Amino acid sequence: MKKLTFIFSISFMLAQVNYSGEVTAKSMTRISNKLQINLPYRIFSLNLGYTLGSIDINTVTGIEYRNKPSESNYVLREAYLAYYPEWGEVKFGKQIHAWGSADGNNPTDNINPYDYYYLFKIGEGRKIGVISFSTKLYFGNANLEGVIIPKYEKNRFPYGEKDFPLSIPTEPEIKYPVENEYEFGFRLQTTLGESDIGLSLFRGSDRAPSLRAGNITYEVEGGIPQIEPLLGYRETLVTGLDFVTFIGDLTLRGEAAHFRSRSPILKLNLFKTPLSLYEFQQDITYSQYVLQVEYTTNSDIILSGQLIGNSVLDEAYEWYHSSSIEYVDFPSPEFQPGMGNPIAMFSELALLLSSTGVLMDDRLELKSNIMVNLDEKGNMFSASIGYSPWINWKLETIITKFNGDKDDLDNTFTIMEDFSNLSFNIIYNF
Amino acid sequence: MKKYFLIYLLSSIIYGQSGIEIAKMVDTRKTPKDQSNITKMVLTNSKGKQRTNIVRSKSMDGNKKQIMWFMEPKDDKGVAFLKIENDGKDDEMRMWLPAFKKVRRISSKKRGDSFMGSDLSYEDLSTREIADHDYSRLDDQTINSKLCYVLEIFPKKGTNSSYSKHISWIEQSTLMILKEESFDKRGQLKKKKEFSNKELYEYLVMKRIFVEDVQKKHSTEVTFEELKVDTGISINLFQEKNLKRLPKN
Repeated sequence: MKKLTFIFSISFMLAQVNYSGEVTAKSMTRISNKLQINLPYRIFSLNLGYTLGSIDINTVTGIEYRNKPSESNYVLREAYLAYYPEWGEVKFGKQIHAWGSADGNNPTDNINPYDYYYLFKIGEGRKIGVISFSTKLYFGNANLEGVIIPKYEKNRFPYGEKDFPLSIPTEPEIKYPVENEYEFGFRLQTTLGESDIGLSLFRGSDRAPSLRAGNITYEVEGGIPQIEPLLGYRETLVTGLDFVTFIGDLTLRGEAAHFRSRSPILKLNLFKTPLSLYEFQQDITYSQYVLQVEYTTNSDIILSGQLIGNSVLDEAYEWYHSSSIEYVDFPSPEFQPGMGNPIAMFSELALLLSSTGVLMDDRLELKSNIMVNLDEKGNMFSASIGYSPWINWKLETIITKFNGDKDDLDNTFTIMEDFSNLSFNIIYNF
Repeated sequence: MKKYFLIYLLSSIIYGQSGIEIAKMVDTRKTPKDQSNITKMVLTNSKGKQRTNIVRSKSMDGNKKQIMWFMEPKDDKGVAFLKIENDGKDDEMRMWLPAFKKVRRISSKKRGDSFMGSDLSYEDLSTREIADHDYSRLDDQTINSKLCYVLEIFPKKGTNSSYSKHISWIEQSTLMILKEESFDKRGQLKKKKEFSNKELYEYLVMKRIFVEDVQKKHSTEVTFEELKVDTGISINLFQEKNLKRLPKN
């Protein structure tokens, strides 16, 4: 024990420790009635890195806090060991990965599930770390990355949050959890001329549950079947392409992903399977894409436009009786993707326009975003002002406004209208 | 004919080297194989308000390969930048953004873009290729008791530059640049730069640059601290994986 303590002390002295973090105080008010929106947020975040030679140990921890009732949770978002040999990188532990070339909306980036409490946060802030082993090999202008995830993680949804308009009242029971938790992916990136191109493949289970089977009952014999939904997760294979290139003063970034999503075969004990059980098999092929154009003006204002699309290419559904394998014609639910860009839940085709400018030597930051649903009526607008009165401090005001269609109450933007809000943040970076 | 030949011969004797010859002398001046430093950038606006950026930087091949990590202000800490200048093709520039966990390739075409909000552009940080410019020698001048060559430098047609010309004052005894004025595409004075150097072993290295953007009424003072040269920086350091790792020293 003494020897171990001695070794640790020496290695600690020889090593380098880096840290950075953020403390945030936040207030969010609904525009319609001026009442507080009471959702949790990250009040404290700490990135800690320990480097000794070619080895790093990194952790990202934080505290998630809710104003009313006052409650806080400790969150370990990442904790991994990284080794950097000459040929590349090897990492093991709980990590957040990032694939793709576009900004903020990445259909090819499916390794990590999303935390929907932070849906409107860009970058790694809205992802959940997964225990994974990853390796990246660099050769010439190219690199090849492989990821294995031995333990499945799902999206975190705001169940039972009355302040979140898209919330489901209670967390549904998952009758058929993921059996084969192993997931894997590969990504090859290379430089061709002035462009970077990436090809990727990922196989895993959907991050959101879907209908997997149903207990069917009839109120009246021969009447309409009453379906008690039983949920599970489809298995999805994603193949992706992403690129960045430069044409004159414009930067073009793009991603396209092809998803094949299928219900795995249920391994049921036929002797214990109720006669009311019917399985629901889905085989869906869908695609998502993002095309982004970016331009920086002479005044260093960054303008960006993204066209975000998703469409179902092919779908096949089957209901059959679990015991007799008799096929039946029951109604099928509307397809919801279990992976891919979260924006897909808002729109099948959307245009996102963004601008960012800084003034007063980066002390004043102005941002604006507008998302227009090109598929149906609806849009979202947000604007923020961030001011740094002292170094490492920032005062931020953000307004977010959703506009839907009064005549279509099922329109996602209409549902989100009541979430239009004004947010004040005080941020200290250390 | 003989008269004109004599005038030409006399001019050559009096004026010595031409502009391009001086530029070549400057280009072949002895420079470190590699260099590392802590770069401090103090940005000052027209009202006198200041902001300080601190960057750790390592470079080799006369700054053709450069990697830097931003240390302050704290909200920039972890952001890193890699530049590799390629002969005959566009430079490669990549940025590590910790908030996105991504290495982002950025365009090297907009060389006039400001580097991290300073008065230095990406072009100002890049090597000026002799073959891409025309050089004209002006009358020698003395600055701070130092006799200087004065060169007028014009980017050639087809060269990607945000400037129409530079006037550079180069100390004759050391071949180090002391002062430069840079003009925008309309021919208007855009930037004034002053350079200070120091001896480090057998080299003369830059220790301070002061840049004033006369049009924006804004200035940046860049000082290079903890300068180290020829420490054996490996070419393997200039890979995107190293953007994610803050250097020890």
